[in-house]
This record gives sequence, C-alpha cells and structure tokens, in this order.
Amino acid sequence: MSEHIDHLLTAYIHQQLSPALKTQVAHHLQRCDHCRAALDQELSIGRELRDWMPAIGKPNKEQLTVLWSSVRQDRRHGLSWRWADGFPFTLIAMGLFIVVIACMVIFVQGPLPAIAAPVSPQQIQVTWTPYLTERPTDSSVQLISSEVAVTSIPTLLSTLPASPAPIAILNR
Amino acid sequence: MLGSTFPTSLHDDTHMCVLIASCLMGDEAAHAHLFQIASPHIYRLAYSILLNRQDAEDATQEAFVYAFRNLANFDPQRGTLRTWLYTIVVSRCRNARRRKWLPTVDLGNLLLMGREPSTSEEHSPAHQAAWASAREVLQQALTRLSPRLREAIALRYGHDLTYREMAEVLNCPQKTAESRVRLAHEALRAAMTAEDAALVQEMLSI
Repeated sequence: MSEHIDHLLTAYIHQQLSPALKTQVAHHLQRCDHCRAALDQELSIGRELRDWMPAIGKPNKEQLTVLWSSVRQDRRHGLSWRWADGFPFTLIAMGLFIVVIACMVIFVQGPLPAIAAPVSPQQIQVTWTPYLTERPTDSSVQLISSEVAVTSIPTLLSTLPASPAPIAILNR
Repeated sequence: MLGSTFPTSLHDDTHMCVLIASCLMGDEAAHAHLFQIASPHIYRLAYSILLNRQDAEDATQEAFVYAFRNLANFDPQRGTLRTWLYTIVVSRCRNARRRKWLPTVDLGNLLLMGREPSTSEEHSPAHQAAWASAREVLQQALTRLSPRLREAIALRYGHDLTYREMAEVLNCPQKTAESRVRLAHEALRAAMTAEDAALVQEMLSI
C-alpha cells in the first residue's frame, strides 16, 4: 500500500474496514505523513460536526408555539378540506390541463390530414413458361412459350403452307 | 393523569406506546405532548437539510400533520417512532426542494449559536471576529454539500443515528448511508483548508 489512502480514512475511523484492510491502513499511517495529516483533519471534522450539528437550527419557543397552532388547526380542519375543497379542485385542475393540452395539439399543429400511401399503376412482368405436359393429338395445334415464339416465329412462318393452320400461342 | 406515563423525550421508547394510544383515541393533550417532545428534533432536522427557516417550518408543519393523520399506520415492530417521524420529515424536505427549484440558503440563520461566547472577556472584539470567521468557515463548507450528503450528515451528527437507522430513514441500503457520510467527510475536507480547520478547532476548544 504505497499510494495515499485518503478515501479509506472515514471508513477507518468508523470501524467499517475489514480486519486485514484495517491493519494495512494502520501500517500505512505509521509511514505516510500526508495520510496522517489527512487522518488528523478527518478526526477534526468529525469532532466539529458532532459539536456543531446539534446546534444548527435550534428553534425558539415562539416558533414552536406558532407551529403548534398551525398544526392543530390543520389537524382539525384537514379532513373537511381534503374532501370539500381539495378533491374537486384537483379534478378541475386535471380537466383544465387535459383541455389545454388538447387545444395545443389542435391549434398549434392543425388537424392532421389523412394522407393515403401513393399508389401508381405499375406493369407487372410475369414470366411464365408453359410446359407441354401432353403432346397435342392435333398436329395443327402447337403450344409454344413466348420466348420460343419470339425466336421461332419467323422460322415457323416460313414452314407454314399457303393456307395457314391455326396456331395457338400462349403468351402468358 | 395520563401525563405522568407519557415519555419525557423522543428517545423514551418504553412509554411511547401509551402516548401513541392516547393520540389514536383523539386525546388533544397527547397530541400536544407528542408535538412538544418531537418538534425541536423535527424542526432541527428540517432546518439542517433545507437551511432556510421558512422552508423548515413548512416542512415541520407538513410532517406533523401527516404524522397525526397516519399515526394508526405506525408499526412499532418496524422501527421506533423517532425514525418514523424522521422518515416523514426527510420526505417532506425532499418535496420542498423539488417545489423550490432554486434553493435559497438563509446564511444569517444557518448556525443558531448555542455556543456563542458568554463571558465579558470572550466578548472582546478580537474574539468575536475570530468566532465569526470560524462560523463562516463551517457555513460555507456545509452549504456546499449536496442535499443528500447534508441529510446524511444531519442524521449522523445532528441526531446521532446509527447507520442502520439512517438507512431506514433515507430508504437506502446501509452501505449507501455509510458512503454518503464518507463522501460528505471528503467534501468537507476538500472545502476546508488546513487553516480553516485549525481556526474552527481552536474556537471549539475554548
């Protein structure tokens, strides 16, 4: 324990340290002039407080007489005051407070407009590739995907006879 | 008739139950007696926390009105009447501090001098000046303490409460009460120079 121990001195004086720590503090105080001076000051402050604090604020007799008459009056009329005056007054005050808050919200900020979320029409791109689960019996009907149609229509048209057969193109 | 069995001081716990019972029966004399033995302690505690005469009187009045109305709730198994009353007045002092946002310190009345010099020799101008200086040193040091630390110092040194009783009154763990006293000591030690402390010590030893 080579550093100063000012922070332990009050606890040391008031016997609040563990036995081991108390022994260490006592040993340190024998060696350290700074901490010994701080201990002397600490003891001095304790003595001063014990001597002075009881003298602070001693009331005189007249003060207490006036206080007793006030307390006695309050005690006699306290119950009637609480229910006859205090309770309605509290209710009125709370009501006024709520009204003032409501007025502030309405007049300061104004009525809140109902703003709907902006909605704009959007095109939905759906990519659908139909699977040919069953080969059509009618050879004139072919199910092709849009992708196939885009790439294959020119080729397909070139293979058609002069009188075109019906073709079902499922684009979606 | 009952007056002979009433306690003579707030520390007389053996006769306190008789006084409380009489108060609960509505005996005006019992109320007056309880006020008479308790009010100096209650006012002194309020004053040493608030450091203002008017505030201390208000807190004392509120504390007694509350105590008389709620005396039936006092449980002797949980503590003494003294600590119960102290708890009430500390609570009222905290309320007063909250109401008065800016504290006003009545420096002129801070220390009512129970230890003022009385002999003609001690009334010499030099001695009076030294006494005034010593008083000023303590005034300044005490007013610099935070209210929580002043509460702890007032209960510990002004009313000689144990740390366990302090914890009960301050509604905190006992370790916290001990820490507050320690912090108050450190703050006072820091606020008072060595010369100040020597001056006060000299005046107290007279």
